[in-house]
Amino acid sequence: MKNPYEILGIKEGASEEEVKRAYRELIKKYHPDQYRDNPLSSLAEEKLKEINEAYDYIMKNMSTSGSRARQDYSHRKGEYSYKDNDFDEGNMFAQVRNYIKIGNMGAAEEILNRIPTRNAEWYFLKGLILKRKGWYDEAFSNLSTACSMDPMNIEYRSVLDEMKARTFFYQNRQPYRTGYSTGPDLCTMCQCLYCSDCCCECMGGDLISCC
Amino acid sequence: MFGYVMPHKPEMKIKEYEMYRAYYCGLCKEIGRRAGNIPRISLSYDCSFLAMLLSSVGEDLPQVKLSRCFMHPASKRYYVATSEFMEYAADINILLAYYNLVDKYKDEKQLKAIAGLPLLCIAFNKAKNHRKNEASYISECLKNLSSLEKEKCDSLDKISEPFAKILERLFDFEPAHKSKKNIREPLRWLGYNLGKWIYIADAYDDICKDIKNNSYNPFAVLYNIKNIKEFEAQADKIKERARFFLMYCLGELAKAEELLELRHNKDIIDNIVFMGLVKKTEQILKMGSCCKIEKSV
Repeated sequence: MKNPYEILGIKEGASEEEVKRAYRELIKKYHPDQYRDNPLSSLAEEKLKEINEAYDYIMKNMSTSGSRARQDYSHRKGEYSYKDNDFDEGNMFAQVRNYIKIGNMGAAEEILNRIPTRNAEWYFLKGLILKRKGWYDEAFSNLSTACSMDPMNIEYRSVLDEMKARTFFYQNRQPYRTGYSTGPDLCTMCQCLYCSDCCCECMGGDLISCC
Repeated sequence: MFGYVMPHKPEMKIKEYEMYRAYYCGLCKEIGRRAGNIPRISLSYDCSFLAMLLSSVGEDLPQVKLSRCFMHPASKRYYVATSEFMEYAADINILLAYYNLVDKYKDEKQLKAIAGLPLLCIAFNKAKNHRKNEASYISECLKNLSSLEKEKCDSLDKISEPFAKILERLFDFEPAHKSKKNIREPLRWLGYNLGKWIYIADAYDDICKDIKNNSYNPFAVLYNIKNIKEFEAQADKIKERARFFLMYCLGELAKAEELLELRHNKDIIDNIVFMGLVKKTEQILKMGSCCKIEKSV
């Protein structure tokens, strides 16, 4: 086994708080939801396992009451549920879903293209396959078509929304240290001082005597 | 087409900047060592990213040396000493630069391209001999790309596929991932998404120019745009579509990067992936409105 502290990216002898924080960060990073329909999902899962093992190891050596946080996360790990629908080609659609689940995109696409009906489900599955392949623009338009054909379907909607959300999620993520550029600028500081001064003067006092 | 992959400098520490520049200078020197001084003009940021990433994944700390060079005679600079990763990146740099010039020459008959080709010719043949598989794969993909461009492909995904495939192959450099089993797939996925991003970013960046010159641009075909006025009418819609596409690629790229086990330079690579590329995207998306500015002047 690798050094568990290295896996969590912390120094040996880190406090319990630090271990937990690092663990939480990593779990968020490699959570299966993040890697949904992504060719790297099995790798992420492996990584997650490694992190869990490392965390358990450290916590066991630290105290006995550490594995609660881990449990919180492990049963949130939602499996992607595929329901079977009763269409004429229901069987074929089920096959496609099955292939998508095990990651065989070639077979899934081949069967899907043989289905003549172009219903919401067809566009949805096509969207899933394209997304996995890395064809995001077409995946997005296929998923949108599926949603507009069947607006009440929660499954379609959730995948589409998740796709939209992902771009924002990426933009707002900065694992890199921040802090240099986020402080108040000179203008804001002056404004604050001026306002405080005005307030003080209202109440009869004075913050900045010269104005 | 190149030079989009850069770090966001204001957020870098000095030591990180020095290290990044050491790779850049090292690659320049490596090109000089392998192919002569003239091809050093073809040096690109993208290939120094390639060199840095592969070396961060595949080897322990690289050797850094200090020396003068003729471009900057005033002071000595750090540079990364030669290694198999630097050699690889240098060859790839020449291959890509040469194919890029050929492409420009065919499409636009640019004078710059005609002047550059003979300068790179000898270096190109050398690099091609060293990297036969890569060179033939690249030229095959580029053939696909140009036939797609000729038939006026209207799908962003289809048109960006060949270039994505090229980068997928180039990041899949065996010495980088041979010692660890779970590195190859993330490296390939990173390359694939980076390739898509570069192609579409470049297409969006060139949209005004392409419309004016009446040359192929996937966005123009997709929205059936014939002149600048039609572009302005739909500019917002196009921008949103491009933004979604580019940011999604970067999101996937970032996920692949997180699965790489970087042995060093993590902060620099994080900077490029999470800030440099985002800033570049924002910059390109803003520039899309250049047509209006140009007209009013």
